[in-house]
Amino acid sequence: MRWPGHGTAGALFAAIMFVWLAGFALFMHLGRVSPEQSGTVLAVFPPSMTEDQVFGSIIQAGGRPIRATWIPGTWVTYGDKTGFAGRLEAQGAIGAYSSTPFLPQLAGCFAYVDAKAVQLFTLDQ
Amino acid sequence: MTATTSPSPAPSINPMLVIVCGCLIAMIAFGARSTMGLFTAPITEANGWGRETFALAMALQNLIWGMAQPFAGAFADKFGTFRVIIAGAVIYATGLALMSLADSVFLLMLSGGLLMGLGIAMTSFSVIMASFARLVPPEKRSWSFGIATAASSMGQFVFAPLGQAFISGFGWQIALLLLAGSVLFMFALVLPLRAARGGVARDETELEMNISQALSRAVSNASFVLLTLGFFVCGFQVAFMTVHFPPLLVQEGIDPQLAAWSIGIVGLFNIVGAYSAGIVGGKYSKRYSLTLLYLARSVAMTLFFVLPITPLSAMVFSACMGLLWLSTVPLTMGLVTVICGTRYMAMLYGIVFFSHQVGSFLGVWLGGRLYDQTGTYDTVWWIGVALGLFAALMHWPIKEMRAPAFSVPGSAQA
Repeated sequence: MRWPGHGTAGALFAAIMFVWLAGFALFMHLGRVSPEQSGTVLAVFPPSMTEDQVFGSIIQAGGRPIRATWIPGTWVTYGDKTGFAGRLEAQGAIGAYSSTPFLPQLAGCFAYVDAKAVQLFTLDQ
Repeated sequence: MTATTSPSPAPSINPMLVIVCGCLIAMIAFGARSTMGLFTAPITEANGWGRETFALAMALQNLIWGMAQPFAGAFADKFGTFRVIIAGAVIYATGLALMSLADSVFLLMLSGGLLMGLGIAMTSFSVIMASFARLVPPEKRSWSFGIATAASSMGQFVFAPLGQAFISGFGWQIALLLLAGSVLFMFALVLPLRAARGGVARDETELEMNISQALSRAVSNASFVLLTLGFFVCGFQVAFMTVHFPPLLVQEGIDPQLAAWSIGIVGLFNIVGAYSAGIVGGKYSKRYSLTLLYLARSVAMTLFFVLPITPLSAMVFSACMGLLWLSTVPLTMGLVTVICGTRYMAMLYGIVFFSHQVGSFLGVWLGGRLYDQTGTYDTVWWIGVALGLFAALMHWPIKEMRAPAFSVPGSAQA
């Protein structure tokens, strides 16, 4: 009986990444807020856009940048007029999402949610 | 008590399918739980709780996992991996589903704490690696431990952004139900592991004994005790770093964005480190590898702290710690197998792992406690360095051979 080796490991990880990327893209697409959404939203811009371009796009969409997040191209923004999310996308944003915490997870064998750590990685506060 | 005179007959198994499905189960089991931090804000805000309430449920989950692991392992050893993972998946998914309904602290503790902790113990990589050990030939064992650990690590990468996407797209309650659904995928994935009970890879040197005999012989074996003590340190260091390292970086003036990325770097290098450790364990001495690994952790921690902390040093340190992160797991599991054989390895690794979880709890708790008292992480950092040296000392004298109490007289093997 021939047991698999490094080739299997590489193929398995590549397959996982492929499925994950496809699934993530799908859920990111489905997870966008309605174009009519206003208020605080998380705007994701292409990495190719400079900070000035991102800033300009947010202003053009009728909002204001609150702050950049630790994810490149991702800004917490605010716009009080209906349709802010749609206008952000028209100005080049990949998508606008509800402002939720995005916490890098490194659970190891022990996942312990520490208020201080959560605060550090929270995008919407 | 009798000697095993011949290996169990080889059941019909597909090696590729066994490895792939086992890795996917480990990935789901580890991945789903790693999304829990994402639910902190939505659950606590929906119920008007403080974040510490949620933190307590997660701490309970991890302690239950640690305490239940030996029992889950014992059930897997006795009744087979298949049944334990099926039962574990049901409990795990029930915990996630009930958590979506949590409107009281009691229900949160029951679902996210107790049920999830039990479910994780019954589906985690410990149980998977034990089944691999019985199905995979000895020369492939360490490699299989490495790939299972790496797959578990990968679960964190795969599930954390997915969990975020679920929450963002469907709300936290549906997100938990979707995670519960993904856990139920284990039903299909576990089928190729049915052959693990009895197994094909038990060698002729293993003594037949019952569970209580195996347990009493293991805990009275010096090498097993040293291994257990050493794994405590792994838990302490990893858990402390997971929770307190990013805030430490921020305190030292590192940009919070970079501090957040440091965790990602650890996670990325962890996959490489875990897989590589499996390969190393198959070629070189596991005890010396573990000794060097813990020494390397202490050296890295010392250098990082005595040199000026800069963005570059933070990234380099994160990469180093990532390589050394869960790379202890395949080597430690490998040593349990060498010392005690494969028959009760799931239970015996569970004992070692419990020590790890106690260390984890102390690492997190002591880190926070000492920080609150002193305003710095200096003390607990140096405790971590000292414990690394202690672990290196613990692993050095381990006898990397089948313990006489577990082998047929005259057949002790390296």
